[in-house]
Amino acid sequence: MQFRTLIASFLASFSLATSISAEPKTITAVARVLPAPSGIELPVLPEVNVEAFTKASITEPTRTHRSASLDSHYDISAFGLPCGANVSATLVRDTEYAIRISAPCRPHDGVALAISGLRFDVTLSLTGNAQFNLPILSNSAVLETVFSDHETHVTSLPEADVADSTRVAISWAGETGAELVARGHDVITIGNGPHRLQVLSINHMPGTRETIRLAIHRNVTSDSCDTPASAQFFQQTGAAHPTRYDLTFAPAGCARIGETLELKNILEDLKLALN
Amino acid sequence: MHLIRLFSASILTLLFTVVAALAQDVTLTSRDGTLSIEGTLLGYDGEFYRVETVYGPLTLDGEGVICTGPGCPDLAAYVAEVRLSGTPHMANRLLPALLIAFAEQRGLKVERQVTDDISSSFVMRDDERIRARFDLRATTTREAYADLIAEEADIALVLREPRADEEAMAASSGAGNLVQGRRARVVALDGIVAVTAADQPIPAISLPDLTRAFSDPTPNWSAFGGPDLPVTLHIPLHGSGLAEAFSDLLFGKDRVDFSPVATAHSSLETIVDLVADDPFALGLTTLSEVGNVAPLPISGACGYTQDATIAALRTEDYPLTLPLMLFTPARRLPLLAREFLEFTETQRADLVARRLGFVDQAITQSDFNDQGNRLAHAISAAGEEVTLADLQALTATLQGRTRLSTTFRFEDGSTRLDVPSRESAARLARALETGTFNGSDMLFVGFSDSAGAATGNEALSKRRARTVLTQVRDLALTANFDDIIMDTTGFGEVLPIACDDTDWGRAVNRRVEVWVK
Repeated sequence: MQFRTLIASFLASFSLATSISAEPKTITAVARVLPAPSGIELPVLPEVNVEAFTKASITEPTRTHRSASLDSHYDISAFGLPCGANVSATLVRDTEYAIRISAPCRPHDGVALAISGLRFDVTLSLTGNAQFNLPILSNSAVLETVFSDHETHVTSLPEADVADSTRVAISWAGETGAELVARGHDVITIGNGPHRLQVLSINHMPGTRETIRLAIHRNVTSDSCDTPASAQFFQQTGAAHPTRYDLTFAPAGCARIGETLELKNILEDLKLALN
Repeated sequence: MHLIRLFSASILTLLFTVVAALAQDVTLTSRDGTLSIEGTLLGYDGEFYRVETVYGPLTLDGEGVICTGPGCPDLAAYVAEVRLSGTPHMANRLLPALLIAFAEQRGLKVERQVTDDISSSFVMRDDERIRARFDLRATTTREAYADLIAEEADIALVLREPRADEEAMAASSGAGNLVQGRRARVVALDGIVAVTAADQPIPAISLPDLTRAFSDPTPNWSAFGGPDLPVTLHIPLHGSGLAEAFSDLLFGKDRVDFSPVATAHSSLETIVDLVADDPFALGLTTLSEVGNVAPLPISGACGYTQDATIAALRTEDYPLTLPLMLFTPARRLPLLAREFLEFTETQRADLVARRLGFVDQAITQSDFNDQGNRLAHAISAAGEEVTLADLQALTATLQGRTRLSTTFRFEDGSTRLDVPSRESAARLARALETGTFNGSDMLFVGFSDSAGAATGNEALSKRRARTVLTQVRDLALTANFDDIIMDTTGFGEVLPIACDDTDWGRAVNRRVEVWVK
């Protein structure tokens, strides 16, 4: 599966590179053209049949000086794209943002993102890209993106109307084995790094009343049994002032490895359209 | 268990006293150096020292004295420690939300440290350091009183007032008189409701039928106007505050208990979820925890039906009101704990309660025109004793005024206000002090049940209205009474809001309402 994804990203990058390169020059391996800058591990592709790509277009960098702002990076990526990082957010269906991170010179970089006091991590692809959808948490928010070299981008998210919805979000720090569970509703998980964000987003239906039970499930594993789990909690109903606080969970104890603990009383159930 | 704990507490107190006589670990000296006293530090709440001395325990203002000796607390590192114990009905939802809102209002960052599903600590800190730690434990109302008496809790979360045995325990352990003074604060109201699935067999149930349904060894829907099928009963655990409150309200007089076929559950969520899936189930829960099922209205033999609604709970016109109370000990609590208690009476706390589906204590107003149902019932109940002239006099007096949600009721056979009404009196007094009703004309209107002669009832209702007015005025020390017109009247049994065929119905009808213009 990972291998297939790798190939797909690779091919996608080729097509992009092709479209912008004027005079493509064939190379045989990426690593030969661009020695790995410090702090970034360039991909080694032993599984890929390099010969199969020799006729494809990979641009050789036309400029080799280092960027003033990115002193550890070249201005052009291994795939011929400008190195400049970019984070964009587009409103989709009035319920979520399509987030696109592009940092061509940071393949596989671990990026820390923060929104409304909640953190999650995303690992960029081979080509330095990441795309994901992020449910709207509040009507106005900024997304802070911090690359591994501490370069920080602050993106103002488009204003959204959240008057008729409730959002509950928890960001988990580390391998906690814990997750937010909402009976009868899907909880979206965002992030593939150590910090993960879970979001439950409910649109209020006029004239209906519903109680949604929220619980936290903790899988007790050898990694998590003797360490506390920590998280940040966020909830906003309608346009009201959001509730935010930190949560820590005492270690479950290694005698309980293999068990799943259900904590039903920690989070408020959501009562929609009650009053 | 409770007795053992109380006994242990007494022994500890005795031992402590002996030790105190031997060890003098602090000396408190007045700032001018002229007075000093030695003793053993019993506690420091961030503001006051409590010291066991040869003269007995003394409380001294920290600002007025300098502490020396090995027992002196580190004033710069003081953290207010507050222990809360009580009913899951409050500990699981309401208190966490109130504590978080309190911290936010104070500009403190809060971290909830979860030990397990029943125990959490709320650690509040500012930019410098930790200021307070509130330990919250979900137990039961009964356990909470025991914890309070044994000094294992500082605030008890309870659904009923202390029972006689608990008062006796408190008195014998030195915890003081549990019912004296303003020890109970109603932070919100809830309603005890019987619930059925949406496709339920009956439209409403009377209080006597409710008693029978939950106590009958072989309950059947046919006894209550439904099909000939057994009733599947789901109830809260025996010993839970809700089960006790329901027993106190409905089973007490008949000396019955829950049906042996009833299944007891530890959580109300489980009860309502099971009822939602079973059209022939009857569950006992609260209005704030009806999940996705429907509460049954309460009907009366005289044809009056009362829905379980937030408005009816706010005025306590619904029969099975459940006050959610914070009970505090006679001893002094840390400053932040006292401030938290004050916070629970603010509008912001009201909003928290409302968001969670509880009925807050905010004073709301309803128009005379919204009283149509009550007037219709009064007209249909009129007879020899209540005449057309009585009804016309009532209408002439109240028309043009609005009714406050604040309604005063009395303990059985007494002119003493019940706990929620004492809270209402305090709230109304605060509203008077803050000028909410400046420029208003407030009329305290007494009503009675129909027991006895109508003329006597009218006099009685007027007397009750005067009693309530006096109590409210006495509480509103700083109100500007020059700018408020306050008067009383009474209409006896003219405007009943429940059938008079039950104790509850008569108790609800004996009331004082407040009408303003």
